[in-house]
Amino acid sequence: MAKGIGDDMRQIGVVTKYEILKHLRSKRMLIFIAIAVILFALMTALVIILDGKLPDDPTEFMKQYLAIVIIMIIIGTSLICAPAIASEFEERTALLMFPRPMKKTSFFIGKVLACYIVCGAVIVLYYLICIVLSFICTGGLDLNTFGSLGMALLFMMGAGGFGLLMSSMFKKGSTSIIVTILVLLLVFYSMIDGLLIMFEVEPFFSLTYAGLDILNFVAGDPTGIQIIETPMGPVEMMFYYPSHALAVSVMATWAIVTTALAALLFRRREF
Amino acid sequence: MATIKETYFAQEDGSITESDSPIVIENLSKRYGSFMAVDDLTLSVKKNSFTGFLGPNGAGKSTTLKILTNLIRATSGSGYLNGVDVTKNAKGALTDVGTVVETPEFYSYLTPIETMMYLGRINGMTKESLSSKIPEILEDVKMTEWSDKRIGTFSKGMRQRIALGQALLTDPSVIILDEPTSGLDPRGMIEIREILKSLKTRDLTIFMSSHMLYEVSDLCDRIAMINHGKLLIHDTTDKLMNLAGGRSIKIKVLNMTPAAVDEISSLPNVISAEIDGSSIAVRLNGGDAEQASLLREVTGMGLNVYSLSNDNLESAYLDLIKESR
Repeated sequence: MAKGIGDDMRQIGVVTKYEILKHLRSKRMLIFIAIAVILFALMTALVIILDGKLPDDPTEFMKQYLAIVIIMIIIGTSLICAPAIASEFEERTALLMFPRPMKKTSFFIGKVLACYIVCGAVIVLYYLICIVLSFICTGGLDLNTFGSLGMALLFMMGAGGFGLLMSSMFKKGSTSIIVTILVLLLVFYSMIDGLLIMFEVEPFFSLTYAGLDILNFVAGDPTGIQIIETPMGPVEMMFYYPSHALAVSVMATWAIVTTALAALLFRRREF
Repeated sequence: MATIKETYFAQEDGSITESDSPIVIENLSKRYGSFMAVDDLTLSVKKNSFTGFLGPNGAGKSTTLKILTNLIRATSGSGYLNGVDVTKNAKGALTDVGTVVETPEFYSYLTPIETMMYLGRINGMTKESLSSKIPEILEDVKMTEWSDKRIGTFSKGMRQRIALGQALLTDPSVIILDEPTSGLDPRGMIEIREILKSLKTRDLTIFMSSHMLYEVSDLCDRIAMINHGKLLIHDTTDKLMNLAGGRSIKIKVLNMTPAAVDEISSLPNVISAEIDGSSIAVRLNGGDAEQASLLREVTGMGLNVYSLSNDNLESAYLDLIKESR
């Protein structure tokens, strides 16, 4: 039995290694990096245009770049994780991989690890660039940035798990990419979170609501009534921010449940 | 009558070993709704044979092979590969098996060497053994000069040669092929057939589905025919060729005369000979040796033979398929 598990682990390692190689050479990876660069450049340009210069305060400096991390992760995981399973069937590579002496579960775990490592590497790189720039521009760093990075990686697993679940359900990788982006970005992030907060209900179950903690780990905004300046005068609005504990629990639950369901569907799926 | 499984030595863990049949299919069924794609199929493939798996479209060939290669699940029954039931322990059953199912696609971003490294490592081969084995395999399938190019740029024929190469990579004792020449152009078909012919000299059991009768009669020494998911017949190619009461041969000669046809009909082993359009249709008792002897006699008679064709398998196939409707 021990030898069996050892062999499974070895095979997972092999699959992970070659899946990473595949991702690094894929066009989707280039698109993910390009999107991260564009979002970074846009945020920099926007701040300079509006304020005339980049913030001097390390916290304010990081806030401007962390505001777009959720969008970047959703798009990135959609591009990398959402086609991971469907493409094996769509591109007929399953005909090559399934007849190998390897458990489907090992193959799945290897693919998932590769997706998370690749997406995680881009996120870490993004944070590293922000940290270096923060030192250069402000002479310091808000140490909560590292907490934010942890939240970003956990959010990536939740969003990635959802992408994998879609990938296990749909025949085409392109369909699962589109559905993942639409559901996470439009349905959850834009509609469900926004509407519930508008009606003063905390969307505690929402992955994208939990993802707000990526920014709030640095910003530190408390849940409560805030006064918003509008052209018609000041308006009182209730703002919700997840606690760190809630954010971690919700993102971890999403990651575990969606990845487990994806594994179950993948194991049952026939060519 | 003993079942196939009973002819093996049952082990404590339920596996069966010590057999002359590395592939044993036992009461295998696959149902899609109300349609039975494979219907209680039982078949054993003889060790070191090149067995053709014949049947019309929708007969259940691919479904059977996909069950054996872990691509789909059986509704019931078992499929033993080297004594291990693939329906219960796919990983164990496929350890010593090479497969080419239809025309598999490869990861387009990897080169043939990287692909074989990947697949070989999954099978437990060491980097060192792969480093010496991969060039050999690429040489066998004539892909050496493409070894470091990404597979995404390859033609279908080249991909199929790589597919055959990866099936041979681990030196398996069993190879399962599902229509390996399907969709290839004539040149690609010939190249793949040449590689398959070269495998006949090795210590291998090959089980290949096809609906190309010429291909099967050319390559296989045994044939299993199925229709509607049921086995119709399983025997040597020679016996199947003679199933319709002797071999049916068509000889085309430049200087055909009725007297020559009469003379042919009186030759040893010839059952009958008659003019059939521009050919002489001969029914012959016996196998390849008798057919060679006939050709020798006919040319010895001074007839200028420019074509000889053999449609025995086609006749047997059509008769069996017709009967099974």
